Amino acid sequence: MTETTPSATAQDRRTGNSPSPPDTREAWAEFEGLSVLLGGRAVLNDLNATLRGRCIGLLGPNGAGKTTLLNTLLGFFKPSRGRARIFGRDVVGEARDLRQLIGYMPERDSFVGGMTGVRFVRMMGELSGLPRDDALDRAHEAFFHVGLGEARYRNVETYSQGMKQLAKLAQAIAHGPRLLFLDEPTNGLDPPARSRMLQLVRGIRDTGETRLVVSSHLLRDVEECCDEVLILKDGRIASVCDLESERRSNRKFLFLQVKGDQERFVQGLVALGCEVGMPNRRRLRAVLPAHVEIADLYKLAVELSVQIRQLDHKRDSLEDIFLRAMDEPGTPEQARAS
Amino acid sequence: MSVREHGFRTYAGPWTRMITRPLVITRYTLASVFSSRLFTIFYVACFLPPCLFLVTIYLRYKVDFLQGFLGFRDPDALIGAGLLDDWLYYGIVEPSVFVAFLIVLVRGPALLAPDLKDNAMPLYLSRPMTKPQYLLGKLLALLWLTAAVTWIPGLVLVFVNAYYAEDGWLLGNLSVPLGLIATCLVWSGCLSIIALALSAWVRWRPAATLGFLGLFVIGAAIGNLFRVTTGDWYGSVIILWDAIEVVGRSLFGAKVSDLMPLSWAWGTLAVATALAFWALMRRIRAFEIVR
Repeated sequence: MTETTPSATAQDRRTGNSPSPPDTREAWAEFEGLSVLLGGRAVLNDLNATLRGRCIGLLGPNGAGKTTLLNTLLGFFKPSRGRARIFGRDVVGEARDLRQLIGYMPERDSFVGGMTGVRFVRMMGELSGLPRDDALDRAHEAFFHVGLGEARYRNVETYSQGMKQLAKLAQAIAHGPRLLFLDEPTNGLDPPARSRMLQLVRGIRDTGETRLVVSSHLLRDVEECCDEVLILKDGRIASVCDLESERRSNRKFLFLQVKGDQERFVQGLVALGCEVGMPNRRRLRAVLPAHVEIADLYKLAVELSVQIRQLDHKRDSLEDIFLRAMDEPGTPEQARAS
Repeated sequence: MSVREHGFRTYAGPWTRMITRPLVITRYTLASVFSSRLFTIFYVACFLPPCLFLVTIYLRYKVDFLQGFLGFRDPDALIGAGLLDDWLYYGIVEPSVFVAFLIVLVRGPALLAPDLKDNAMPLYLSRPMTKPQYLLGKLLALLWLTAAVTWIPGLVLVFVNAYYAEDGWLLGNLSVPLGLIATCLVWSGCLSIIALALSAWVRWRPAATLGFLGLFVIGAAIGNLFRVTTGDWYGSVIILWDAIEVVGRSLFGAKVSDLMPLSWAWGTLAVATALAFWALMRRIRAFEIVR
C-alpha cells in the first residue's frame, strides 16, 4: 500500500533516508513570464524571478496578487502564460507530485469540523500520503510542536482564533513538507501568539530542510523571519530583495559619534580602509571594507584614546525597501533591475 | 500516547498510493456519520425489511404453513391474487430503493456543506488530491452506506431463495442478483450525486434535506398531475421513482412497467445525474471567488 516519495533519489529509496537538504542558495523556484488571468483581468502579470532563500516573504498591498500567486503555485489556478517551476517541477504538469512536498496554511479559518484537533491533523496527514500509524504519530508531534499538545483532544470548532491558526500550522507541517506556504500566518493573533507563531516559523526555517513562503502585509513579520522578499504590486514584481545581503551590507554602513580627537580617529579609519564622510561636525559616516570588523574600530578608539559615544548601523529597513518598491513604476524590467 | 518528538522534521518514510487517498475521505466520513447514535439506530432499523423478507421467503417455501396462516387452500390463488407475482422484486428491490432514498435523505445533504462552511476545501485540494477524487471519497461513503442495507442483504436473500427453490433456479435467474446490484447502484449513485450537489449549494442542512425531499415529492406530484390530466406517460419523466422502477424491472427481469418507455427512464436518470454532477463540479473549488 505504500510507495516512495516522489522527491527521493534512488539512493534515498534504498537507504530510506530523506533527500539531503538542498544547498541553501540553490534556486528552488523559478517564474518565467508567469501570468494569470481571472475573470478577464490579469491578476499576475509577467512574473520573472528566481527564489533561493530559505524563507521568502511575499509582500504587497491588498489585491497585489499574493494569494493568487500561492494558489497558482499550488495548482489551483492555471497560468494563462509563462510557467513556474518548484524544485525543478512544473506547477501545472506535476502539480500532484509537487503537492506531496508542500504544506499549505490558508489565510482564512480552515478546518474539518466535528473532529478533535489531532484527528483533523491525522486525516490531513493521511491525505498527504502518510500511512495511518505514521499520520497519528506525526499529528501528535505537530500538535506538541505548535504548543497545542494539551488541547489536541478538543474539537477544532471550540478553539480560539489563535489556536485555530496554530492548528492550521500543525496540519501544514504534519507530513514534513519540503516547502511550506503560510498565508498571513499571524492574522488575528495577539502579540504573544504572534511572537510564538513567528518563533515557530523561524524554527522551521532554521532546520534548513524546508523552504518557506510567508505571505503577509505585515512588514515586521516578514522582516523577523524571512531572508528574501518578493514584493508584488498590481500583479507585477516590484522588487525581489535578498534581506540577508541587505542586512550584511547595512552592518558595514555605520554612523558614529566620538568624543576626543575626531580628526585622528578619521585618519585612523581611512588608514584601515574605510570610506569616511562627515554629514555634520558631531557625526561620522563610515563604510567598512569587507576585512574590517566593528571590533577593529573599538581597538582604534582605545589606541587613540577616543570614546565612541554612539554607533549605529544604517537602518535601511524592509519598510524603506517596500516603500521604494511601491513608489517605483512597476515595469518588469525595473523590477528585474531592482 | 506518549509523544517523544516535539520538533519539526521532514518525513522520510513510505507514502501510501495515490489511488487509496479517496478511501481516507470515505473512512473519515463514515466514522463521522456513525458518531451520531440516532443515525446508528436508524441504520440498524434499515435491516428490518430484509429480515422480514427473509421470514417471508422461509414461509413461501413452507407453503403448507403459509396456506394455513393466510387461510388459503390453493397456492395458485395466492399467485392469482397478485401476492406472489414478481414477489422477489417487491420484496427485495422496492424496499431497497426506498431504504436507499431514506439513507441518502438523512445523510447526503450533510456531507459536503460542513466542509464548505468550514472552508476545508483548500486543505483537501492543496494535497495530492483532485476534486473528482475528493467527491469520489464522499460518494463512496454514501454508496457504502446504502449498499450495506440494500443489495448486500438483498443478495443474501436471493441466495436463501435459491437454496429453497428447485435446483438450477439461480442459474436460470441470473438477472435477479445482477439486476438487484445494478438497480441499487444506479439508484444510489443517482441519489447520492443529487444529494451531494444540494449539499454543496445549500449549506444549511435542514434546507438541503427539505430541498432533496421536495425534489422527489414535488417532482412526483407535478409529474402525476400532468400524467392524470393529459392521460399520457410524459409526466413520468420528472418522477425519478418511476424511472428507477422501469429501469429496475428491466434489469431484474420482472414484469415490464408501463410507466414510461425504458429508454426514457434511463434518460431521466442520466439527465438528473449529469445535471447534479455539473452543479457539484461548479461548486467545489479550492478557493472562494471574491466578486
